[in-house]
Amino acid sequence: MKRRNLGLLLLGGLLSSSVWADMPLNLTKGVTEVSRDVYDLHMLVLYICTAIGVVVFGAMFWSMVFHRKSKGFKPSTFHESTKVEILWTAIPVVILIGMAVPATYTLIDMENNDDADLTVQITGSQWKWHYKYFDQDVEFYSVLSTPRDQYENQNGTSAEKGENYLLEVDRPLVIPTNKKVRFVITSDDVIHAWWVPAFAVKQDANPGFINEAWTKVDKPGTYRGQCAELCGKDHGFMPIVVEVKSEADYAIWLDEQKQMKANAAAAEAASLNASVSMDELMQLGETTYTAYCAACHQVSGQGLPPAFPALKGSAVATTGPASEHINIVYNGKAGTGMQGYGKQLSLKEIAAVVTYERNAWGNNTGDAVQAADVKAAAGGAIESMTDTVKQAAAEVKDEVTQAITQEVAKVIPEEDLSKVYSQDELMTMGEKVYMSACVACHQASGEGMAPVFPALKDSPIAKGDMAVHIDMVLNGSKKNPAMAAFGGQLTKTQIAAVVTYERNAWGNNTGDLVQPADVAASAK
Amino acid sequence: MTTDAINDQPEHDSHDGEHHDHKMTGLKRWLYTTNHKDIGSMYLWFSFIMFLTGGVMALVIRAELFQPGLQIIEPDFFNQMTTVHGLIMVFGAIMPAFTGLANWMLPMMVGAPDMALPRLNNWSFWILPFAFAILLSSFFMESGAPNFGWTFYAPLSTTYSNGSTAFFVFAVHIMGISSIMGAINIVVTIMNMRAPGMTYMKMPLFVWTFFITAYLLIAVMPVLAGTVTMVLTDTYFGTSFFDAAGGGDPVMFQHIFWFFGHPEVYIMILPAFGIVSTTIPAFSRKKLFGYSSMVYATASIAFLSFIVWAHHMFTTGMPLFGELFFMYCTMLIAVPTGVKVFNWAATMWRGSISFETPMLFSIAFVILFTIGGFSGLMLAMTPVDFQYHDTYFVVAHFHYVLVTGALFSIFAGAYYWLPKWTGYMYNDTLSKWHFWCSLISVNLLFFPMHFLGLAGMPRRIPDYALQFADFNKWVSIGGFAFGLSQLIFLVLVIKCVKGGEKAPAKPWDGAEGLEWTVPSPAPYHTFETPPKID
Repeated sequence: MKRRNLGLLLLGGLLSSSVWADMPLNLTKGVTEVSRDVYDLHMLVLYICTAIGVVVFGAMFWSMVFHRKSKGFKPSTFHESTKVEILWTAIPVVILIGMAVPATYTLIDMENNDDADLTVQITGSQWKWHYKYFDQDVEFYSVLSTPRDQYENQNGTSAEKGENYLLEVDRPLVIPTNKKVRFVITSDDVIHAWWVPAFAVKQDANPGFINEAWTKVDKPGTYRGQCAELCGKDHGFMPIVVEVKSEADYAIWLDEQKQMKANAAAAEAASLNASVSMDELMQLGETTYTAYCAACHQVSGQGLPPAFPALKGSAVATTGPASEHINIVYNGKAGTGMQGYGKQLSLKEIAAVVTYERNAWGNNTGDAVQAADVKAAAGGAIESMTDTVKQAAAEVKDEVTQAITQEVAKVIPEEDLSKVYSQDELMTMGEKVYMSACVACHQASGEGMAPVFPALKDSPIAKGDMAVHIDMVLNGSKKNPAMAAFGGQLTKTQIAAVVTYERNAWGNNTGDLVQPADVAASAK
Repeated sequence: MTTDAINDQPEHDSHDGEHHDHKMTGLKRWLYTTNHKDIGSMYLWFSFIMFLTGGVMALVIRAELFQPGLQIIEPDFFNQMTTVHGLIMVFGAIMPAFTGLANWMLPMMVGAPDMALPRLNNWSFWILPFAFAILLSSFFMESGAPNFGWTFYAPLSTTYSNGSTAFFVFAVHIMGISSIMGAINIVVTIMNMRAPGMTYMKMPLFVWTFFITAYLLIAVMPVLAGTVTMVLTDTYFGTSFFDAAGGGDPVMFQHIFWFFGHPEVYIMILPAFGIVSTTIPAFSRKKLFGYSSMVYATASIAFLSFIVWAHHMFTTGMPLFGELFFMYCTMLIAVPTGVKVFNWAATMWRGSISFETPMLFSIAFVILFTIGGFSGLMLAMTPVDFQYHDTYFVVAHFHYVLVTGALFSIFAGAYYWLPKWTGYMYNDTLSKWHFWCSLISVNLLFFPMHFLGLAGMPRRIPDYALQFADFNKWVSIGGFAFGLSQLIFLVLVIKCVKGGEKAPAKPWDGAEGLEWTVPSPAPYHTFETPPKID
């Protein structure tokens, strides 16, 4: 009696003690209709499995206890029964159908991404998340905010771990309650997965592809999740925090963000004229370096070669020109893990971090880089076409050129320059030529891709002097190297047709008809 | 083992020449052997060494996860540990152990003198150590071993991989070649070398499961070879199979990988079904219940394994129709698997059960594998899989299936046939210690992982939030206990090889099959004239 009481006490103690209360044992119910459906489904399957387990294991334990040799039990000889086999094939099928029906309904619900009130683009990269609100002009990165000394304990030291250790970020995603929020999810590098258990949303972020998911949360609060797909070294260090606010609070937050953005832009402009002291640069540089660079290049600047090279004593951070250093930080390095930080950091922060890297760990170059230097070194990329863009454009041009030359050689062996075409003929042929030779840059809509590839719709060239237009297509642009000369690639008939098309499509409606003879005249 | 002289080759007759076994001496015997028993032993020893190697890596992982914070290793090395642990356990421990059992037992069970292609057999074993030497050598490279998970998802394994990817690719190629040759050997042996009168439906279920498994291997190993080759060319030769920027698709990698990967998990469990279908009737002293339904169930599982691969990929953004199709097909697998479990329970029902160590491992197999099956059924449900996917719930699931499933069945088989292999009975007390220590520690190791996963702990992370700390501590303790328990088995096997109580030809009164008609230890050559089956 006494022992039994003690046992009960122990059991009760175990169940009620705070130790167990801290340990969640089951799936979260979550805070959305879908997550509750998912939880119910989970419990349904769990109960069914438990019941089957009790029956099957019960039968096995029954035989182990009662049908044992040591008790002198004589074995039966039965070893076949088609009836029984059919029975225990059919019953599970029925049970499975019972499980599949609610699962199907829940799944159809989960995959219905239509009619969203708000869309947020989520982009994963090594090892942070980027959130961009559609139609709101708000976007930001979200990075782990747990201090490194809390988790880097290899040398035996350890700062006390905070309550939300490894589940806290500098800027959480904020969404309103009771609104259908659609997430479009993608990645900049490897595959990540965006997972918030309380929403029952887990969706892979695939580089080059876009996935969709949605949620509608009915309870304000802070919800935490983690990246769920192995994405490299710091896969365990890219948490997700979502703050769900009431609609009114969300509106306030949104205004704040826009204000912050305006302030940041002002600060950015101001920083261009400011000259920051070396001390301040080094201080800001160290903070920025620890937050953004130390994961790979290490606090010691020694990196993790060969994947993540050392900065200490490296050519880039010492003897090399500061402009090249800035360029790598700003634009990243293609084909490596080095991201471009132009979008993630302010000009001042980049200036500070470059200064820090060029002076810390005995690099001692003495270089103090200012925001204006950053703008000058990388700024070409911001304002106008840089060499890389020009080169890319030229490459595209060359490819198009080659493809067209081949196409032309195949289709039109010889042409009759004296032939006069009708508008319909010219327009049909022109559209075809345009769609193969011009569309890559100027787009099917004629709206181009400013600033490198200008619009043709309502453009002064396509609506202005016909001779200039023909000359542009024949001989290319003298100002913009991206515009190729098509005289050697297209026949005169084709150029006539495409010019006609450009002058009359997309509402340009000049009514001009260009004939092969006009092109031939211009070419001479 | 002692070496024996060859009487008709005088340069070798140094030792006790009592047997007329035609084998060489020393290292040459093992290097040149074409004997299925020698090759079987080598496979089994090799797999045990690999099991310990992969086990040490698991212990490094568990040591790091013992408490929150990064205490021992760097995250990148942690990823190398999880990756190589997985690769070694799958390709180095479980699969070669089954091939070893097949080599030892299949010819004896079908009444054949040896495997059909003995030289191929020698080669398929001897390339394996080189494959794993290549893989393990990458630890000594500057960049370290592969760190992208044993599933090597692109582009983490291509554009973003470290310098050892080529080593990984060629190691997997060699493992694949070895598996394919082993599988061809099994198929040819079973089809052509059965004793007269042994029709297909008279073959022991053990033979059936290996027959079907061998076909699965032949079907999917080339797919794996294709996958790693594409990873190789994407990494080093500028192709873009899995790179969207070049017109490829990273999700296509997963489709191709899991088209291999899902049948692969059945490659690792169907032979286990065969083993326990041998041991449970033996120690229940009653014929296997529903032999033919067991054969059909095995074949159905093998077929279904080809049309469920995308259930590993529910969160990749599949269309709704795809998700439904793969969910229904996956749930369907529960039916033939259930039939098997019910048949084992029915075999035990009203038998005359005794609890020798092979039976203990077999019963533990049935119960714990079924728990792994239950969590598999839960994972099959797409909506809930969104919550389970890539968490410790999945880790718990596949370890229940592969450790308490495949590995426990291998232990059951090893204890069952050890007397036949060595000629001595194993130390019963040690074997009981091995069983009970393994059983308790393995559950302490893997059961709390279910809770960790449900509470939201992702897999493959070197550090975790504080609410996961208590369970991780228990899991780590269980891990070390389980690892140490396996040393008991090592001691037991060495003792059993060296000597002990002499084993009779048939040490288990309920055992059936041709292997028990030959003396223990089984002579170097058995069934040189085929037995007659009626």
